[in-house]
Amino acid sequence: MSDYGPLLEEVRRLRWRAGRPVTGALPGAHQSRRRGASAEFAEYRPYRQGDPLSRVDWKLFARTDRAYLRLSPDRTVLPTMIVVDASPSMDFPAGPGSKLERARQLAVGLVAVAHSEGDPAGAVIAGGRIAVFRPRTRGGVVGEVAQMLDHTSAGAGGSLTEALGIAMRSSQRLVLVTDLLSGDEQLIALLRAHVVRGGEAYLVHVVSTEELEPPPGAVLDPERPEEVRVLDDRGRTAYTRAFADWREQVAARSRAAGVPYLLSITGDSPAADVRKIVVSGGMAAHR
Amino acid sequence: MTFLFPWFAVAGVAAALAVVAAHLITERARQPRTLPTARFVTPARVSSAMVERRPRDLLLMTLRSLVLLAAGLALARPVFAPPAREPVRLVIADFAGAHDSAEVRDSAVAAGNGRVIEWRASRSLTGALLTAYTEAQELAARGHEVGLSVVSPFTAASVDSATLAVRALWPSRIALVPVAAPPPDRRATSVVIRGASDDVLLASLSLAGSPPGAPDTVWISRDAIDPADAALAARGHAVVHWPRAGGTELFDRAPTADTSYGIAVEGYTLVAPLERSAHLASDHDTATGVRVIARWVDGEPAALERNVGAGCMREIGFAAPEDGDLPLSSGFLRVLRSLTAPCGAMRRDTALTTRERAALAGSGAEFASLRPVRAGISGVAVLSQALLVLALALLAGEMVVRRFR
Repeated sequence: MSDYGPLLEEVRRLRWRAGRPVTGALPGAHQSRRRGASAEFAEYRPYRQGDPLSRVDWKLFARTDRAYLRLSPDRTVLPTMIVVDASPSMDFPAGPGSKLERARQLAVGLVAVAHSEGDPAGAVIAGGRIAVFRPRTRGGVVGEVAQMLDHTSAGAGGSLTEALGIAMRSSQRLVLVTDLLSGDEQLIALLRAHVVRGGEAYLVHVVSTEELEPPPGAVLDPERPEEVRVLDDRGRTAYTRAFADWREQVAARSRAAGVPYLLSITGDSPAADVRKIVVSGGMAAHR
Repeated sequence: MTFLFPWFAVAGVAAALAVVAAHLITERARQPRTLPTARFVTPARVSSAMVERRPRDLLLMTLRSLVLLAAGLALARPVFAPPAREPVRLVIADFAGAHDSAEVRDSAVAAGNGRVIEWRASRSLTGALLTAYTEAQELAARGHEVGLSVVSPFTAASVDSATLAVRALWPSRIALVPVAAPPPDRRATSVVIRGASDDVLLASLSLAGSPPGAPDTVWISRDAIDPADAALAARGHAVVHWPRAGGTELFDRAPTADTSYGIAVEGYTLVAPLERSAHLASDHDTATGVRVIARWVDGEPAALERNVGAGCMREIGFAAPEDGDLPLSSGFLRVLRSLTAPCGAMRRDTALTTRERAALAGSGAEFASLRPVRAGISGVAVLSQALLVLALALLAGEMVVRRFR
């Protein structure tokens, strides 16, 4: 099992607040769209028939001879799902520095942050099959999610779009961790649809250092093994440019869809990437 | 440092270089690597065979080269040469013959500054040369360059069939210091001539002295040799075929006779005009046991001897002068006594020819560094063993690196 201890220690004090008011019935840390009856003042509303008389501000009534209700902001929980792409292309390079291992690290870190906020957290991993851990708030969620991630290996059976659909139905905030090599347009479209419906979505694009600077030689795509291409010194320049252009296009489409985009490189610190993700929500702060 | 078997070191270096070359020019089969983003590689960049000019695995190449180098050096048996010291000249003093020992001893002392090898075991110098060679190797192991002088009368008995082969072991020139040859071994012989009553040799022999009842009888045939002569030789007598004219079995009659003004026999040269009426047969092979016992002054053989049974037969390639008083001269009589000596007596005391002495002396520097064989043998073994252990350790390392790459 991977060692998530150092990562969890680094992200322990992060706070991941929702980017905008959310709809929720359970009390939580995030601002709700509804106005409640707490002591904190938000606004006044004219009294309507059927409103409880206990919420009328009588002092204002004495001053103005008009009945107003005193409203205050409400807070609720934000169910969060992390969707992990475990297609064959994620199992590169082989070993502990693979993109899949980076995705596991990010997923566990984000689940820990969400869970520390009191939000129900879960994960979906699409590898050889789709494994689902529904959002929960009980203790031990982080460990259970980590165990599920560690026991799921890369494979071609599960559909990432199906996994994303499962996450969209069971959460309001979702993070898609993928290398986008299985097709980016459909995934971004799904994320945009989730945002349009009032949810939050993040796109974390995982790239390995070996993909950024591959050595020369014959190469083949594991998802298209019939094609063998040769990368020589001259071709590396064109490859680097094409790969960078594609990443920029994906980032632009993602942001245009209202989905924050983050590039996560396997050589970088996973805790730093987790921090960037939660900050990009616009409401994170250290305690 | 030097090597006892340097070709192994050369082979080790060559093998190591071959390994480096193999690593440099290996055209690796294009085993495609997995790269998920291979779709961004432009398809037009598919190139033909890529020959990698850089060694792909420097560590493996280094280990393999060092294994072969260490093994080659170990088999080459390296030895550290001792510091150079002053040259030493060995002297072989030949006391084996009947020559003057005092002259040999005095000449030996003056001939060199090293050990004097007093040789008495045999008249051949073969054993003495071997002894000197062994002594020289001991000196070479201590850092000395070694020269060799031989004090000897240098007769035919000094050289046998192995002498020149042993001499070839010596890498430098050998200084030959001649001393006076021993007097010829002459037992009293009676000479019987089978020929005409007016034969000029009869007069010569009467003056030379042919005592009756001498233990040895030498037969001279002035006509052709017959089976009886061969039988005489086989019984232990010396039979001399000395025709008045014409050739013999080993000498062909010359179409025209010429005159030579000297003939050398047993170190003595008779200077006189002698008719050379025959020449050595063209198909004659001197390596088949036939010895030259007399030569014209121009080096051409004038008389030959060969063993027949217990005795020998001699063939004389010149005619005894019929005119003048040369046959009665002391010089001719001395030649006659030599040609009518018992079998074996001539062979032992004939002087070496100029060519034979030149072959014995050889050429090259006066002193040479011999390759030490026995010196520091323990040190040689330790160093070779250490190199072998190193080679084995490097081989093990190569296997580990190759396994876990």
